[in-house]
Amino acid sequence: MPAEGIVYIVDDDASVADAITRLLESVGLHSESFTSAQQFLEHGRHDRPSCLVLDVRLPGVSGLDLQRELNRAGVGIPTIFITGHGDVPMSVQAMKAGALEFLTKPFRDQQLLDCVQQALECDRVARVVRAERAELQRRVDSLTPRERHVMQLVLAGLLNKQIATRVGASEVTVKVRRGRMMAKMKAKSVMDLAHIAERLGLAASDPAV
Amino acid sequence: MAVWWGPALTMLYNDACIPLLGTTHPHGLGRPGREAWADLWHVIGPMLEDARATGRAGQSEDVGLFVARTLPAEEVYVRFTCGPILAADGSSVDGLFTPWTETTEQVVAARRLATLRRLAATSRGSRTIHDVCERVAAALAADPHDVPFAGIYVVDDAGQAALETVVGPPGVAASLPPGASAAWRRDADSPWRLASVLATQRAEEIDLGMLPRPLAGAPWPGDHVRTALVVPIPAAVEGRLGGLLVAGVSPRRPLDARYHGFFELVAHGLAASCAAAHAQEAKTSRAAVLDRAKSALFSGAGRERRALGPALVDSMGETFYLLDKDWRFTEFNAHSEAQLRTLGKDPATLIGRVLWDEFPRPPAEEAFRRVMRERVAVTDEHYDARLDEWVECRIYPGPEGGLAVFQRYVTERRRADEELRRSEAYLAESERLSHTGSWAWDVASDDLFWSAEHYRIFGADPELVKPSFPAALRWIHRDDLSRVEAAFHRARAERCDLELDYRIVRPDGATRHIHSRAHPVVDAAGALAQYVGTIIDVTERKRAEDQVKASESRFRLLAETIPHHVWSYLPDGTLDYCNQRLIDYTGLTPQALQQNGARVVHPDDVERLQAAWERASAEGTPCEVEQRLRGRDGEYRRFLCTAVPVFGEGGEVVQWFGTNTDIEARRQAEEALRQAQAELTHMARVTTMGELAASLAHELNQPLAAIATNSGSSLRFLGRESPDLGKAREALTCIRRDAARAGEIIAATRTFLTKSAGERTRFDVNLLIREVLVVTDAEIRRHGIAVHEELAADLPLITACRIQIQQVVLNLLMNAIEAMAPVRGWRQLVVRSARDTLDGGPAVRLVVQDSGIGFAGSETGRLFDAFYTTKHEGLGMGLSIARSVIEAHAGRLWAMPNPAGGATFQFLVPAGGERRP
Repeated sequence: MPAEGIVYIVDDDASVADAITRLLESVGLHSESFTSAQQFLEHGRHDRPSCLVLDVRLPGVSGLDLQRELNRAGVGIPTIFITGHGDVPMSVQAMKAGALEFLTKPFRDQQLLDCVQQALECDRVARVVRAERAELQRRVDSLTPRERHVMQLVLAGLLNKQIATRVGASEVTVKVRRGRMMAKMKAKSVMDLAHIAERLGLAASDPAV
Repeated sequence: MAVWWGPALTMLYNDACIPLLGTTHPHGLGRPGREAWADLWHVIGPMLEDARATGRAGQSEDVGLFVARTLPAEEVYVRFTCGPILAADGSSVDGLFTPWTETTEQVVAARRLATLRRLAATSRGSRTIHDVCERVAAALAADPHDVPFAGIYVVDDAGQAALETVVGPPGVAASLPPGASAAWRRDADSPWRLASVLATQRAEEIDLGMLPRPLAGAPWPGDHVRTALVVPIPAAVEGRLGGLLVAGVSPRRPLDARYHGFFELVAHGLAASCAAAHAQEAKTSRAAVLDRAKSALFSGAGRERRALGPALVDSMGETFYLLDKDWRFTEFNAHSEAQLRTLGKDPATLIGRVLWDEFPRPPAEEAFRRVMRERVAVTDEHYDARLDEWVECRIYPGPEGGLAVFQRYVTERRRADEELRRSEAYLAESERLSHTGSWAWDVASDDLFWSAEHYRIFGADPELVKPSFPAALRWIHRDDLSRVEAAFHRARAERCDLELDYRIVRPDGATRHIHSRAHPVVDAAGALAQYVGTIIDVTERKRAEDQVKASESRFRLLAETIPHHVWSYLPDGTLDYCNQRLIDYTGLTPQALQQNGARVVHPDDVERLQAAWERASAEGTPCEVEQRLRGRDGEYRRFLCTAVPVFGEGGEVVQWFGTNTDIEARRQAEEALRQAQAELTHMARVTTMGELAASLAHELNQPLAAIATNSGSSLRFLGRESPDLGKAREALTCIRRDAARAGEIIAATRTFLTKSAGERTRFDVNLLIREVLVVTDAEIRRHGIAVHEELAADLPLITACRIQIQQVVLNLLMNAIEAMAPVRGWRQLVVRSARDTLDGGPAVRLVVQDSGIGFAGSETGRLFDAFYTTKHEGLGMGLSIARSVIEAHAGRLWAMPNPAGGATFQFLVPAGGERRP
C-alpha cells in the first residue's frame, strides 16, 4: 500500500468545504480545507500523494490565479476546479493550465470522488517519476566535471581513444574515468547510460564541449 | 380698438380705448354695447348694426361723442373703422372689430381756426369801433361750441370800460356788468373782476358758480357755463387797454392751454380790427381837413392865402411850415411852434433862418432836397429820436420856389399796423401748428390766394409760384386729377360746400395726402363770389390709419384662430364675459355657466381650484391653476387656467380676466413619456437582475453543492458494513441547514424579479437608435449638445431582446450626456452604426462618442464593474448592466478615452444575435 493520499480543499464557503471533507472521509480519504488561496500557500504541503479541490471564485487571489502561481513555482499538484458559475472560456483556461477536471456546482458526489481518486493516482505516479528522476539526477550530480565530460563524450558515441585525444589525456586515464563514471551512474552498459540520460533530458551534446 | 362680440355686440376693448371711454370703463367691458354705451348708442349703434347685418366694413367720419371723463360730458371726436369678424362658416358675423382714432384735437382746432379766420376778416372794411364789435360778435356767435357767450367792453380814454356788444343766448346781457373802471375797488363788480383785469391787464379765470342765476350757454341750453375768462384787449397805444373780452368757457371742453390760447388770439384779433378801425377813422377825418388846407394854400392868391391861411393851418391837427427857395423858414402854424419849443427852439427867432443851420442833417434831408430839385410832392416817414415819435413828412413844392411841409406823428398808426401784422403772424402760426393751409378762390376773376402754410404744404416757393386754379391742378396726383376737377366743377355749379381727399405731388416728388374743405361765399346780390377753403396735410394720419387697418386684419386672424377660452369674472363671482369657444366647449350658455360653473370642474379639482382662487382674490395676485373641465360630450380635458386681476383707480380689483388653455394633449404626451420612462426603468431593474443572476446562481449553487455532497456522504456512511450513524446524522443536519439557506436566496430573488426579460425579436438597430434619440432629445437640447448621426444604410438586422438593447443604447447616451454636462464650450455627441464582424460572423457595431470629461486609461478595466462610478450620482450600475446585456447577446462592449478628450463607448453584437452555447 503506497503512502496514504491527502486532499487539499480551497473554498471560501465553509459549508461546501465541510461537505467535501465529510464526503472524502466517508470513503476514507484524508483532507485539509482552506478558505482562501493565501491560507493554502502559507500552509505548505505534506510529502504525500495529494490533490487540490479548488473553487474558481475566491476572495483575493482567485482559483485560476492560484493555479497560475503554483505552475510558475513548479509545484505540480493535480487540481480539480469546482465552480458555481463556470462558463466555457473559464474552463478552457483552467484546463489549458493543467487542471485535471472542471466541475460545476452542484456536482455529483461520485463524480468528485472519481476525480479525487484519479488525481491522487496521478500524483502518486508523478511522485514515483519525480523520485526516480531525483535519484538519477543525484547520480549525475555526484560526477566530477571530468567524469561528466567523459560521460557526454561517451553518450556522443566516441571511442576511448578518440576521447583521450579530445580531452588531451592518455587512453588509460580515460578508461579509469569512464569506469568511475559508469559506477557512479550505476550504468551497466552504454545503452543503459543513454537511457538514463534520456530520462533526465540530457541530450547527447556536441563532442566539442 | 374695441371688439363687439356676438349678437348682443358685447363690448371688449384694449387699454388704448380707456381714455376715450370715461366712466364706461371698467363696467362696460364684457357688457352688451347697447347697455354699456346706452347714451351714445344712437351715434355708433346704427353703424355697428349695419356692419353686422351686411358683413361689410365701414368707416366713419369724425363722430362727436359726449363722454364722461375729465368733464361730466366732454366733447370728444373719434373716427373709427368697423370690420366684421367672420364666423367659421365664412359668412355670418361673429363680431365687429373697430379700431378707433381720437380726433378731438384736430376737430376742435379746425373749428377754432375757422372762428379766428372769420374774426380776421372783420378787420377789412370796418370803419368804426362799434362796427368792429358787431362784426366780431357775429363771428363769435357762429362758434357757440367754443364761445358759449361773450361780452365785448370798450375802454375809453379815461380808462372806463363799457359793455359794447353781447354774444350768446338771451339773459347773458343782463348777467354781465354794464361797465367797470380800473379805479374801482377790485371786487366791486364781483364776481366778474373786470376792474381787476383793467388794473393788472392780465387775463383772469372767473368762477361763475357765485352768480345768483346760472348762465346757460349755447348750444346746450341744459348745461350751465361754470367758467368764464376775462381777457384784456390791447390798445394801439402801448400800456393802455382797448377793451375787455369776457368769454364763457364751454362746459364740455376742458380749459387747457390751447383753449386759453384761442381766447388770447380772439382778443388780439379784436385789437387788430379795432386798431384798423381807429386808423380808418383818423384817416377819414384828417383827409378832409388836409384837402381843405391844401386847396386854400395852393389854389388861392397870396393875399387871400395870408388872410385865410393862419386860421386854417392853425386849425389843422398837424405841424405845418413853409420854406423859401433858399431853405429859409417863412411860416409856422401853432402845432409847429409847439413842436419847435419841444425841440428847444424859439419859433419867433427862427423866421428867416436857414433850415440846415438850425437842423443840420435832418432825417428827411434827402426828401427835402428832392422836392426842391424836382418840384414833385414827396411823402417821407421816419423815426425822430429827439421827438421819440414816428413822423410822416409830406413835402410839397411851395410858392415862389419854396417848400410846404406837413408833419404829423404816425407812431400810433404804426403800432396799429404792427398789431395787425402780429395778429396775422398769430394766425399764420396757428395754421402752421395745425398743418392747415387756407386758400381763397375768386370765381369771377379766377384769382387764387394761398396762405403761407398752404405754400408750405404744397412745397411751393411763394416767391416763384403765382397761384391760379390751373396752376394748382398741376400739383394734384394724376390719378386724382379728374375727380378733383369734377368735384370743383360740381361745387361751383351747385354752390355747395366742398370736401374731398386727394393726393398731391410736391415739386420735390413727395406724395402727400390732403384733406380739403371749402365753403362758397355769396355776395349781396346772391351771386357766387368766391370759395374759401382749408387744406390739411393728413399724410401722417393716413399712414396711421393704414397701419391700424393692417393690424386689424392681423387681429381678425388671431381672433378666429385663438385656441383659448377667454372669460372675465367680477370680484363678487359674477361671470360677466366668456368667449364663444368656452360656450362651445362646455355646451352651456353664459347663464348656465354662471349658475353651474363649478360643475364643469372635475370634482377632484374643485378643492384645489377653490384654494387657489381664494388665495389670489385675497392677495389680488395673478393665479394659474391646472384643472379638468367637462366638455359637452361629458369627457374631461385638462386646462391650464390663468386669471389676472384688473385694478380700478383706487387700486382695488374690479375684475378678473382669464384664459383656459387646453393642455390635455400635452399632458397625455407627458403621461406617455412618463410611462415609457417607467418601462425603461423597470427594464433597467430587470436587466440589473439579469446581470445579478450569474452571482445569484453562484449563491444558490453553493448550498446545492453542499447538499448534494452531504447527501452522497450520508449514503456512504449508512452503506458501510457497520453504518456510521453519527457521521450520517451530521451530514443530514448540514443538508437541512443548506436547504434552508437555498430557500432564503430564492425567496430574496423572487422579490426582485417580477417581469421576464422579454422575448428576442429581429429588428433594425438604426431604428432603435432613432427611438432612443427621440426619448433623449429633451436632455440633449437642455445641455446644448450637437448630435452627429452616422447611421450605416446597409446595417444587418439583429436578433436580440429589443428592450435590453434599447436600455444599453439609452444607458450609453445618458452616460455621454452626463459626462458632457460639466464641460464648457463645444459639446458634441457622435452616434455611429456600422456593419462589422465578430468571431468571423456578421455583426453590428454601435459607437457613442462624446466630448465629455472622459476617463483615465487606467480606469478602463473598472468602468464596467458593478458599483464602480466616477460620477457623484448613480450607483454605477449602468455600464455594468450594459456590458452584461451585450455579453448575454454574445457581444462585446468596451470603452476608450478619446485622444482629444471625452470617451468612446462601443459594442459589437452578432447579427445572428444567438447566445453562444
